[in-house]
Amino acid sequence: MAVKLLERLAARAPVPVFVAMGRDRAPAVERLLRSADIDVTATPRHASILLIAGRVRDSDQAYLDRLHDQLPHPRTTFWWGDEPQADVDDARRAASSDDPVISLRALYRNLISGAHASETHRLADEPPAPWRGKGDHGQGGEGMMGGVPYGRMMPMPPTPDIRDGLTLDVYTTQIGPFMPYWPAGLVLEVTFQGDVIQSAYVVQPPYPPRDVDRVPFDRLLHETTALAQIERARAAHHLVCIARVLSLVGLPTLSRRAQILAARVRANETIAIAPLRKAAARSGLTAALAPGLGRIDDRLARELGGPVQRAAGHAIDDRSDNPTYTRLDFTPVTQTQSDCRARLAQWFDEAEQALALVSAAPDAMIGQGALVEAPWALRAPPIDYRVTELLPGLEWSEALLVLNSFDSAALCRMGPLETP
Amino acid sequence: MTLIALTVAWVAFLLGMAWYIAVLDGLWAAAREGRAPRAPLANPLYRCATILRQQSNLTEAPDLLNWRLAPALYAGLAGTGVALVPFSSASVLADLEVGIVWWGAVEALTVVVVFLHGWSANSQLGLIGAYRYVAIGLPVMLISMFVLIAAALPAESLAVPKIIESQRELWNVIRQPLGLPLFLLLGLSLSFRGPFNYADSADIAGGTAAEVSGAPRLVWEFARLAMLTAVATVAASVFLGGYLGPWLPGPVWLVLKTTAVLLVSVGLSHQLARISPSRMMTLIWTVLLPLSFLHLVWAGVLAL
Amino acid sequence: MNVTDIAFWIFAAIAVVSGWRVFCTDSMVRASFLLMLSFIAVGLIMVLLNAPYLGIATVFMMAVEMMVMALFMVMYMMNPAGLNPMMMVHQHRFSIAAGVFVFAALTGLIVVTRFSSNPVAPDAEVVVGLGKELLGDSMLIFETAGVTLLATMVASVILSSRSGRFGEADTGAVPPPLEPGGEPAGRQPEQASGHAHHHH
Repeated sequence: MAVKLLERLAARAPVPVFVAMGRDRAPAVERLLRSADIDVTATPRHASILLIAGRVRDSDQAYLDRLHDQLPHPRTTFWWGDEPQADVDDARRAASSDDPVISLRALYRNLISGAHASETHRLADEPPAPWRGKGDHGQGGEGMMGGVPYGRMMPMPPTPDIRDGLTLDVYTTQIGPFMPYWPAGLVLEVTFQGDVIQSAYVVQPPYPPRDVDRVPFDRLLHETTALAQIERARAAHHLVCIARVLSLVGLPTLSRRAQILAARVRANETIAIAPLRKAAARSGLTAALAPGLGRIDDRLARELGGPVQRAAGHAIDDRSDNPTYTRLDFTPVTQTQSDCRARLAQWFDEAEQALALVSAAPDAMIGQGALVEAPWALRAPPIDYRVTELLPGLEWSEALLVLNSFDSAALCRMGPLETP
Repeated sequence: MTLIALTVAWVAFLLGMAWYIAVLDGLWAAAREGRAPRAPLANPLYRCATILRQQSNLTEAPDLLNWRLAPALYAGLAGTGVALVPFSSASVLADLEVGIVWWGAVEALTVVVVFLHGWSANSQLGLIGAYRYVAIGLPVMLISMFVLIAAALPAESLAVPKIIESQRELWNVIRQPLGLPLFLLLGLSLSFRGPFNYADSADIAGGTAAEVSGAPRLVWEFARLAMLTAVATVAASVFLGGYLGPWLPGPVWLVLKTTAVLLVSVGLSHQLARISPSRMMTLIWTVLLPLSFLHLVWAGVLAL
Repeated sequence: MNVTDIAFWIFAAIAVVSGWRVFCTDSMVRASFLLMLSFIAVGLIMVLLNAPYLGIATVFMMAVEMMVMALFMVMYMMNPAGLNPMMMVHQHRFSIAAGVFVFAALTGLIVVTRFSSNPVAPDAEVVVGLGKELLGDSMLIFETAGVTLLATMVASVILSSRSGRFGEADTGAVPPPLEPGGEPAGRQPEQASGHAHHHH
């Protein structure tokens, strides 16, 4: 009786979903956030459905399995994208063009009523290393100090920290690739002192920009495309980037609003960004980003190109030479400081400018093969600079802000594989 | 008999206020996102059922005793905080001569309990949340102690009922204008909300609650709301005269004032961005703590 | 045996058992909080003895103190982040001898001392009395002792922290770079406006 009531009440709650962002990150994950019927959780422990959006690399499969086993029972997996990596029934998949909210609700209802069986462990439920209980408390060594506790390697840095000579007061852990507000696909091995990053190296690089953002730019290679489509895609891309930063500074509601705006821009609706920007400013967004946080030098900004370069004060933009844009008196917007604040302001400015261009010339067309600046810059090869060089010395939340102040293309170019 | 009635009122007050905060949260978020709220009154119940329907999971080698105890202790501390406050001049559950000192102990033990919750799960992100919470929670507690001592000065007593009685002519919020705003920050810090959410924020995947699911998580989430309720109830009594007020009966005034304080707290937690922990530390130690000290000096001079 | 007696025995048992467990546990965090539990039980016994201010202030102080102690032990421990299991006792022979000696001395004192039987009246205003004592006749003594202790703490920190973690304090303690000749690592003072990272 009580259980039945519990099930009935639970069935009416927003569906707790943990989203694992795959490679092409099924178009418009924003749409999920638009629905009040979906509760996108920050950790797999709070979710009942693991939603895999898009394809994942083969090397990510092990991470995905571990993620899956962290979901509490009853749990299930849902694939959203064109190629699910397992044989799954229709209840647990949706094509990338579909809206999965209705399927997710139905699946969740069946899951808690028991009609859909909870998924079992994918991995063996045992410690990753055998117990090696040496010493009085299994500390793995003699006397007071630990040796190899629980058979695990001691996470010792190879050399003494030149700051203070202490060699042992750190711990090392892997983070990624499916952590929320984390560049999708990126796996870092991070060495912490408290919550300050001492060193980091890339275990797996992040995924390139999403397909959904690329579509109009790819199309331009083959056919004449409307300026409105190009600029809407730019505004939507920037809004999603802004949404991530808003979440990180503790403004989840404004973040959701930015996601909703992005989805509406893609759906060809007319929107205004100024109210969001004003609300964010009134909430102290600028104060939340320390001045100078994540500042990069000029050479790196130039090599990365795109909005990052313009945030550093260089008015370089392919649209300046395009006749369609010059007719509209296009001049690139720039910032001066080249830090997180500047890059965020650049996204806001460029998104607003993009929508202004759309309303100024709703019917303008751009000729096939014309050079038009993408929302990011991805023409040059990987560069000789690691994203991990930006992180040491930063507190964890600052590090996340720095990472999220770059678009995925810039991160991709800064994040090739490293060896420790 | 009165003890039983008081205990029932105490439980009902805690549950009712927790539900009220959850409803407010939903409404505020919906307004800010520019969409219609989803079943605003019932949604908290649905979410409770969802959490309860999930299995209570385990991590590898957690400190199970502390991990399971921490949510219950946190809720219990919030409960003793509310018990200090009289519903009317004759009805108080815990009539402590040193009520304000016990409230200080509640704050200090809350920091311990939140740390233990993050530490005992044996998970790195929970541990980061725990470290951060201690760094921010301890100095914020110092601020609240200065503020509370200032409020005790005009009453010449450490007991909450006497502090309320001392406000018959003039509420402390007017006599000591800095007190209530500083105390509201304590509420955000003790229940780690909005700009003070350093323990369970999204950038560390839920922090100290990142690994917990099922019934323990429900208790934990309830305890956060109960703790905010406790702070609001103490604030309503110490700064806004508690049950004092014309026409209406005392308990009604207390409930009205508490709901008003909660409304402001929920608003602040949604409207303000969070700065990085190290800058928050600088802000607390260099601006807010000296400010609370000035406030204490001001209250002392006034009380002379 | 009334309720107060039962409460006393319960708190006494908690104080003794958790105090004993401090030495048997395998983690600094657990040891700190077991010690806190022991002190809290003692504080509550003081409340039973009609010393509410001192008792609850003990709870309050111990919670803060043990929290800070746990963190500092973890911070300065060489064991990785102070989080691995470890043995909490060392110098066994010396500590056993010291423990036996102190226990014998204190127990002896209890046995030979004649405790006065002078119960406080139930309606006595003990907190007011304590306040009057602390800030009345004995104020000079307490304030002198308090300020002296504070000055000693500040002075000892200043003296011991000249050779600070990031260099001599009087030359301006700037964090050294992460690699020789580089920019100072870590958080910079505000006017230096953040992290200028160089491209190599």
